[in-house]
Amino acid sequence: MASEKKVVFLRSSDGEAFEVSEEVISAASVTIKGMIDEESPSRADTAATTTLAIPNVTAATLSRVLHYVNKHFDAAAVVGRPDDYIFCAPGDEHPLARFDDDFVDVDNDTLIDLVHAAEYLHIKKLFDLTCKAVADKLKGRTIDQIRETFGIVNDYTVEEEVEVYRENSWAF
Amino acid sequence: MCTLPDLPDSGLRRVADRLPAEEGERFAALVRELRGGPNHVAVEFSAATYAWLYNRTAAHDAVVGIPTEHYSASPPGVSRSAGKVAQDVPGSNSKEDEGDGIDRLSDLPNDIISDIVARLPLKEAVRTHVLSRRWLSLPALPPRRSLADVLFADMELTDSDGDEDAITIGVTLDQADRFTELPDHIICSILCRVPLVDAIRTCVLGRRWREVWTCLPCLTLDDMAVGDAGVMRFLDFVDGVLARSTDMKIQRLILNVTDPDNVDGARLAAWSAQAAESVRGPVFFKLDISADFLQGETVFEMPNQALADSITVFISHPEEIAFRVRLTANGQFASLTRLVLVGTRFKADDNGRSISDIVSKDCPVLNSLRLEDVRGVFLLHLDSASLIDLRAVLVSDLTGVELTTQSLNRIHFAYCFVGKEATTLTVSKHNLKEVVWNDTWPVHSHFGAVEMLEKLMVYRQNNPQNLKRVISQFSLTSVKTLCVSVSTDEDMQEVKTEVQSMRIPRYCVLVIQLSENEEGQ
Repeated sequence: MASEKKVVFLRSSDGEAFEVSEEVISAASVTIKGMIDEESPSRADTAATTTLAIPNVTAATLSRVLHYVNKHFDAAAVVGRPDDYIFCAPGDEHPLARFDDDFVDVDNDTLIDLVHAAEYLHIKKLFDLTCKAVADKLKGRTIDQIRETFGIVNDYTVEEEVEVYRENSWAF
Repeated sequence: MCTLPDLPDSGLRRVADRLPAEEGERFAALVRELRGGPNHVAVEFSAATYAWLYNRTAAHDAVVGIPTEHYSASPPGVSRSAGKVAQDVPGSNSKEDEGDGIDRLSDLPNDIISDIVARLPLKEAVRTHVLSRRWLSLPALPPRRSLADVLFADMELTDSDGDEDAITIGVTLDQADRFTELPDHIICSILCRVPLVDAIRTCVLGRRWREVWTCLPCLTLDDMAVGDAGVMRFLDFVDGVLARSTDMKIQRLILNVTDPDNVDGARLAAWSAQAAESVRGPVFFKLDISADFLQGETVFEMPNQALADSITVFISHPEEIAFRVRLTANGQFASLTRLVLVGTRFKADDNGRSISDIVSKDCPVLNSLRLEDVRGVFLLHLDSASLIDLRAVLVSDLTGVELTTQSLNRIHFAYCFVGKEATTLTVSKHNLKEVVWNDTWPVHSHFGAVEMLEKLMVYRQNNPQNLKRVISQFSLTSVKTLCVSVSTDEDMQEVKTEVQSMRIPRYCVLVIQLSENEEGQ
């Protein structure tokens, strides 16, 4: 294999370009792998690097996603930097558990941006992680607490609300 | 793109990022100014944001008919309205009344203000009433607009303006909750990770949420969890869940009951029928009841128009629950690939058809059959082209097995034939690769030709004399790995000498493992 790693550029919806190793991003994102595979015949043996437009993801979100991807899918980074292991508590399931916890410890908007991005880019691990983070914010909360957490507006009329409660009374 | 690293809020930053560089800077300056005071309230930001964007959107000029030069001053007059709000905030000191001091936001026509206010979360929208008299006298608040409306409104702007980003702006700017606006399948992915009761209760959050939970692909009905969540009547809960779920595609259904009060024969039968109609993946019924509270019989019927690909019925204490499973046969289990019955008493259906009939005739794609701790099965006579894996453990009434199973790859027998006379095993068609035997070898046995066994595993614990008998059934020249399980070191020595006399070919790997009597899975 060539010594220099192939890289691709990802351009966010707001026009910022990010560099990432082709190998790493292909392992992470099914969507981008598909894009690269589509592109590859036309760019074989050319020095030009590919820039892929990611129209649904903003720069702020994309940079977070790439931070995650580089941590999780770059084998060299994980193996070569043992400090990640030093910082993990004995109970952690995997070395990146702490990183993951911090990663999803963000405000709701950012988190939901990440859910969208993970879904669009088809990064299953990240989608699972972010969905679980949202789920954790729902778990064991009362309805009012959930409304407050996510700013959900109760748009039922009183009659409707009574009806919904009656319809699902077995769950309350 | 304009980068404003010191903007504190990601939402505002997104707005700033989308504006042309010069205006973005102005916007940022405005935000910083508002943020700088101790009296900022969310409403100022929202109103300011929208007003700014509206003012700066050329397309909007055309719609409203305001000449562009009105907007050239910066910041737009919203800072004045911000100052007014500040008067309502205790302990605040208004210092925003600088700049040109003209409140152009309030000068906007009613319909525009309504339009702006409609984009605010309801609570904040209501609060705009206190901004000033002008705002108090506004017509009643418009109903909240749906995402579609917001998108549509921005599409109109886009058309006249050519700015593709406007659509995205509309969505990001809608400060109303972004959670609700997620598509159904993502919400379901999230709700799947929440206990079922919590997931269902989201139905009262708002209209959008009323039916969302009914799309949940995986249902785990666990009486402990449901009880912990404060639901008093588990039986009604399951009825309710399944009744609302008839049209949906359930990919997995798990029923886990530990409290004997939650077992009701008639309802179990109804649930299994419901499950059969609506579940397209595995169905798992587990009754883990630890004391002999249950008397009498419960018939669990699985009607065979089932779409499920795997059915598991697991009962932990069969002695205490006289629990009978009846598979009704009026058609086919067309998708069933795996059938697991643990701790049950099999009952022939109304036509007197046994499990053998059902597996042989009504399960065209069944790959795996597991019977553990099952009573009521005397003869297992399977004629199946699809069966790959057969496992029979403690099938206590079993005396005869006849297999015509051309795909059969693996058999595993344990404690079925121990201490019985006149037991028979006939395997006429098979493709055996692995035989695991923890049982007495049947009195009469006949195997078709065995080409090459990958693995022959024999448990010696129960029957020291049995080892030779089992091994002698298979020509050792056709066994790649011979595994013998023993329970003590002494036995291991015995086995070593025993096996040495058997002339094992060189290529055959011999493994003698020390293990408890109970086999590992």
